[in-house]
Amino acid sequence: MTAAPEASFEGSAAFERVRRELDGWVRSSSDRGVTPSVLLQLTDPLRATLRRLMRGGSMTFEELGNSLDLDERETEVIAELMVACGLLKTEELDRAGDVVYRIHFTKQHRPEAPVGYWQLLLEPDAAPADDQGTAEPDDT
Amino acid sequence: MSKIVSIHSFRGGTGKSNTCANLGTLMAMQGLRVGVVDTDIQSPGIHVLFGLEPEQMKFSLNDYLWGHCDIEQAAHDVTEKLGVRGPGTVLLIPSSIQAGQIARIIREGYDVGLLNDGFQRLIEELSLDVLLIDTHPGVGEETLLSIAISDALIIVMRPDQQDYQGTGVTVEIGRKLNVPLMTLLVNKVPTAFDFEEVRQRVETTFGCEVVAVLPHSDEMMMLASRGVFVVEFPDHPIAKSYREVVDRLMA
Repeated sequence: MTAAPEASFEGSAAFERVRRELDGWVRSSSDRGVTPSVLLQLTDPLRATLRRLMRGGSMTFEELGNSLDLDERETEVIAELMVACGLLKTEELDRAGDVVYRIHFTKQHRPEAPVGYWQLLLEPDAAPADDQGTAEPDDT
Repeated sequence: MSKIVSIHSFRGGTGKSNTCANLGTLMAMQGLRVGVVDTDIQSPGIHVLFGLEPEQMKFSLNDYLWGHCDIEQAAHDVTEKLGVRGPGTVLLIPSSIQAGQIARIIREGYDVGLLNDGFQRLIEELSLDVLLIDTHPGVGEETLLSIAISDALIIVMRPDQQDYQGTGVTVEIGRKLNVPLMTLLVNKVPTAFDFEEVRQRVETTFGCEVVAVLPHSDEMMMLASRGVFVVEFPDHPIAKSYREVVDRLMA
């Protein structure tokens, strides 16, 4: 996890609100991506922005700033923070370095279930396993 | 501009897939190109209504999520099976009905981002007017994704106390996610009930528009998923109600 960039930068009230929410998010999340349930954990304008990203696929730097109602400098800080905490990822559009932002989706977590259960379903001809422990830890 | 419509219910057995199949068929009858995605990966079934046999599924949504094919390769044109004539089309993207494949996707999970990309690609590559998403009951990741990207959400419920509580959860989620059009469809209502009273009670309880109150139907039960109701009973009052739902969605 990278530290929040430019922690001393002071911006508008909208910026401070978004940064506070992201600071809380940084402490409770991993940088390995999110699933759609993240929408229920955030508030607007972050939630609305992620929803737009889900529908539209990607946003330019300018579109991200407009969606969050931030100026250019503020957008820079928040975009960096969103990437650092695993909400967004960047994708280079061309060699000039222009990027778009996408949601950094992670693989959906698998449920915990007895190993024998999965073995029986995946290999119907196999005898039921004695091992009734839970599935191995999620590697996502 | 294409529309994405999710059909959801908090509990199973509400008639969600039937609703989805009937609305999709009616839209095609109006000349629209309709995609229907079965995201009920854990308990797929809508392919039965469209007459698609498991052995006819060359590729399914599961194959796409595992990277075995492009999403449009999993689209099956079921228009002819439905007997729909005219310029409209129904393209079904089924989920696999093989136990091993269902188990694998539940166990291993899948890339939700890939599912999202697939929805967008379907609309573009198949030039869809409407994408209907038949969701898994309850609240899961794919359901949240479907609701989040939808222009309209239809929540199907029965007049049942368990459905009432669960529907409240879905309505709350729909509100949080700012779905532009969220409506309730009350299904399988006993004919002894006062339908207008049911409509008012549900609207008051959830503060949400009721798009239709549909009666329990012996004809629907006897059809037993062997076809799509609006094709088999085009003059039935339920078919008329479904048409009104389509008009509301496409307004």
